[in-house]
Amino acid sequence: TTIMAVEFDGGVVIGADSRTTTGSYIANRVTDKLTPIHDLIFCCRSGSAADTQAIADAVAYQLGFHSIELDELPLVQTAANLFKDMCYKYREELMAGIIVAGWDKRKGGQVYTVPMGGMMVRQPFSIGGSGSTYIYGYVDSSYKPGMTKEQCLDFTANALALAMDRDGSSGGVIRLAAVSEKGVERSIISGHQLPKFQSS
Amino acid sequence: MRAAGGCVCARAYCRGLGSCASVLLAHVIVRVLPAHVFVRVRVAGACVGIRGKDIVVLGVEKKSVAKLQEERTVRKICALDDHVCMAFAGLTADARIVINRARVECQSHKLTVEDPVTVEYITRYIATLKQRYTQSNGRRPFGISALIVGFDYDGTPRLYQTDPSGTYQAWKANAIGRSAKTVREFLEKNYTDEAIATDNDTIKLAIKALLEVVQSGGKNIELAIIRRNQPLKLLDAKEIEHLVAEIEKEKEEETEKKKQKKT
Repeated sequence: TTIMAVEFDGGVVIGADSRTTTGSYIANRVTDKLTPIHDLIFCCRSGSAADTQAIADAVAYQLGFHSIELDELPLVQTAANLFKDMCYKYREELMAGIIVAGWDKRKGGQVYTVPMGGMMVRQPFSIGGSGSTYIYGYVDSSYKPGMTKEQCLDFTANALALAMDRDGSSGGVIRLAAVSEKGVERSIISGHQLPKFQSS
Repeated sequence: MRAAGGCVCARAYCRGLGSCASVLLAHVIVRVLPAHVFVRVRVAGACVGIRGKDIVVLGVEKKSVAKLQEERTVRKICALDDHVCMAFAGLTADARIVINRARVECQSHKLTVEDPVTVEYITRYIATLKQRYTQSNGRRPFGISALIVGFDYDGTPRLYQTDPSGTYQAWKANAIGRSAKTVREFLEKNYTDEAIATDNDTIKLAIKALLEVVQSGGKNIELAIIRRNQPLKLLDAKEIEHLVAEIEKEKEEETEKKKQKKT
């Protein structure tokens, strides 16, 4: 798995590959690892598919109730904290690396990473999953603060394509989503449309 | 062994706190709860609910607030989920508990069956909850009647009413609370297919029904609507004033027409 999220002024861009494996068999080559938790809050799931699906369902439940009670859209920080609470409490039993990203009216676009172990920290951009190890160099050198939404989409697509080229557990299609006050725009990059590099 | 507290039933488990009086009459008439429970509902602010074709409307009578009181903290229309909401008449504190349990159940249902609740399901849940408190000892019933409106996921609009006894029925239009009978009679006369032809007409019918019993017009009315596939919307004071003005204009035009017919 390779997952990624980038903040921009007015929202976030999130992206993931689409490969789920049991051993070397690809159980699902068109997986959707970008899961909505609320109208404008998503999470990128890496690690055990079962664990992350169960956690995402539980957080969606808690956030849904919280939001109805408040009569307001929930904060991304709240969602991230709910993930963190669950991932930390059950850290011994779970294998889940999650990136929480979304938009709220208090702080705009935000990305919070909740890696295995249950820490939580906000970052301008975040990468995760087994494929992320191959692209630390690329993202660290390519990232510039103050990118536009389109630049973020290109940055994410390139990074994911490079990771999918090198990591055996990542591949398939690139799923992207741009979340802002206006809503969610989902897109997909597959096959020949994948970004190409000199090496590949 | 007879428990203290004046309860006349001979059940061994009864702690004499009075909630079983209903059981004695139950086999004679429809379950009649201790009268004071229904009194709470009858003196509470009026509530009206109307089921339109593509819209459901809830209107409540806003109690006038004291000078130093913050107005926005008294909310009698509450969302239970994105597609269901309810208004109540009766004890606000009891309503808070019922609404909380209903909200949890809405999420729990979504989590287990991966579908949002139908309006009937959540009404049945609330009614079952209320009924439980009429049959176990040591507890008093919830002192609220509720109007629950929303759309099922197949797009059908629904309106249900529950009362403290725990019964529920589906309605096309209904009223609870103060002068419910007057409002219901008005609705029986005026709820026709033309009256609910458009969303706007349905909203106006709800306002007209409330104006029968609410003094001083639009200022004391709170209105909420749900349109198909859209979240709950509370109309603000300006929109209500605008509609009230339209209604009064229509009334004047009616009386003008009648005068002309006579002359």
